[in-house]
Amino acid sequence: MFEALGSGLALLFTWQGTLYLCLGVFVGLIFGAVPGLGGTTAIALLMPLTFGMEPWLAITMIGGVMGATSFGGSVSAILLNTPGIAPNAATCFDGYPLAQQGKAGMAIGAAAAASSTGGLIGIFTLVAIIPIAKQIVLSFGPPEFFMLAMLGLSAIAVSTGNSFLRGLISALFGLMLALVGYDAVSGGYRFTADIEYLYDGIPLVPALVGLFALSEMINLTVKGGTVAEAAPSRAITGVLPGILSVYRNWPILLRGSAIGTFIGALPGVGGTVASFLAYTATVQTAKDRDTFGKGNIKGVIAPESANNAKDGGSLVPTLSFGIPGSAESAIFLGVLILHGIEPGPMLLIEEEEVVVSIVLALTASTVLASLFGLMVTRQLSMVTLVNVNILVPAVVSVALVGVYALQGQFGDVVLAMVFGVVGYLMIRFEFPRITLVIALVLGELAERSYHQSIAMADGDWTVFFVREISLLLFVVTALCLLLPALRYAFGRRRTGEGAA
Amino acid sequence: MNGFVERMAPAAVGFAIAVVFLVWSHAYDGRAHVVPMLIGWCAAALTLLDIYVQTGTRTGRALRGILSGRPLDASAPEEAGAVKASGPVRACLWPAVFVALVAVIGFVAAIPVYTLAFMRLQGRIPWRLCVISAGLITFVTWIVFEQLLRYKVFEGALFGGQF
Repeated sequence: MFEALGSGLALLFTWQGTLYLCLGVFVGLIFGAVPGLGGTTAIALLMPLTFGMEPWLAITMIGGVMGATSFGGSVSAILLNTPGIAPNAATCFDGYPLAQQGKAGMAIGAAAAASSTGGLIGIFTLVAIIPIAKQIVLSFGPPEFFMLAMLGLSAIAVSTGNSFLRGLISALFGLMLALVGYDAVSGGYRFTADIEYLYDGIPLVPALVGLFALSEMINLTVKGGTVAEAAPSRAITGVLPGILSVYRNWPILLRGSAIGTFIGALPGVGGTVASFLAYTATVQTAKDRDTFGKGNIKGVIAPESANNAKDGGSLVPTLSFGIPGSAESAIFLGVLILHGIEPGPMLLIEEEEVVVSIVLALTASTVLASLFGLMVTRQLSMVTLVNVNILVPAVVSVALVGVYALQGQFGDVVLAMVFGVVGYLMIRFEFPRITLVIALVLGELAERSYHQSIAMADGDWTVFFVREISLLLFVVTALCLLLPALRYAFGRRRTGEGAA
Repeated sequence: MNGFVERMAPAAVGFAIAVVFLVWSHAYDGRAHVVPMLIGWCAAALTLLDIYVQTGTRTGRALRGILSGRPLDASAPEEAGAVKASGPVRACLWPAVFVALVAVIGFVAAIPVYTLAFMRLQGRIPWRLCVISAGLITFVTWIVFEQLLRYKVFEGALFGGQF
């Protein structure tokens, strides 16, 4: 591990490593600041561009994007009351009132310090967990891998809240798509309708670009107008007191980071829940509860630290078990596949350099994003004023040229467009896209592990329930699937008690 | 679009896809169809459940509550959201038109035409800004992909591009 860390650091500080990291951070800040874009669109858009790069450079750039989007989003949340990405919504509650009181600099300073420190705590937690996760992964066999894939899909469907049923349906459609193409078990082609283009299966990159970049552009076209309505009117001063306030309120910083890391590690739950939970916990335990929502700096520190800490947390299941903790992590897995690195439980064992590269890139980008962000705060907030009718053709053009450039196949362009429309319909009809993507990524592993398990047990399907870890994973999967019903039952009981 | 149709259509389409997949799975034998069949049956069952949940009946609404984990007032009437469909259809057609243009004249020619048309017709943006933006987007895309990254950009069927 230390050897990989040393070589990773040496690579990061080459001119190429630093350049691509800065580029990733720059793109992440802009895409984070513009509502409707966000980190998933940025990574989907950049993914084809990374094709010709060395894998570590691509990972460095994507890590830069992942670490920077949340701070970019907090700038527009504080200055314009328009969260760049959903998790920044909690920052609006106190960040915008502070800006209205002429303390925008203080709020942005606090957001910068809280995000970078929270992000670092999340990453250190990830580094501490990696050796333990390695031991767990080494004890896994095919039945465990199969159950793990099932658990990942169920947990993500549950985390979609109101769309649980449609989350499961999306996951099943994702599995259907994952089965298209050559079948290693039977040695034949399945579900290709004799279309040669589909013989190798559904290519992941065009699918991801369509589902996350093009669908968002279609959505923005439907909404129209500019993403934010008014330019920030106040001067940005007093950044240093804001930074210092974070360390004066260190218990809030630590609690926010702990919540962010924990929530981030739960597959699919994501930063929005983390930042709102951290905000609520801070309000409920505060003595000056009445001042929240009117410009309390603690109301900026808590959600911002949680929001950035979740990046490290979400990489725990992604790197340890190949189950993405968030949509961004799912696309990150796509980047790994593009560079010939198979995501999955063995990644931690076989590709230590990859794990180290992402950890280093995230660490550096977390700090860099705050430094860059503070320097270009005002310009960042102006980006949100761009008319979507200029933004959309630019993003669509770059996305589709990128998709074509990857393999020189026009079929990829058509596929990305089709997935773009499908993605938009999924947004409109509340079918979560993340479960479909994760199923598309995990489908092959799930089917392979299923057949290996059955073959290993001479056709006895009880193999999934007689091994301890596999049984445990099955029980957790079943609990996940029952969770909405349990929540419903508890909710009814509480409502009944309230009425009584 | 009628609220009921808008709610029901995605669920019905989902069910149709599941049934087609299930029937298609039968075409394969041996181990090749085990997992597809399993997925197909699960998808058919869940999409049927989704159709029932969308009916807005008392039981359907209660079931929706259970599945979302939040108790709903089963006696409350179903909200009828009438959404105009022309906007989304037009928005989905724009990338399709762009792809069709690319197929014929290639990226370098299609990008300015698409950008100009989109900004002018969809966004009602002044001509001057449209022309400047179209030129700029085309130039940046060409510089980044063809010159910096050395990727070959599709030339279009008219100019010898191969599909």
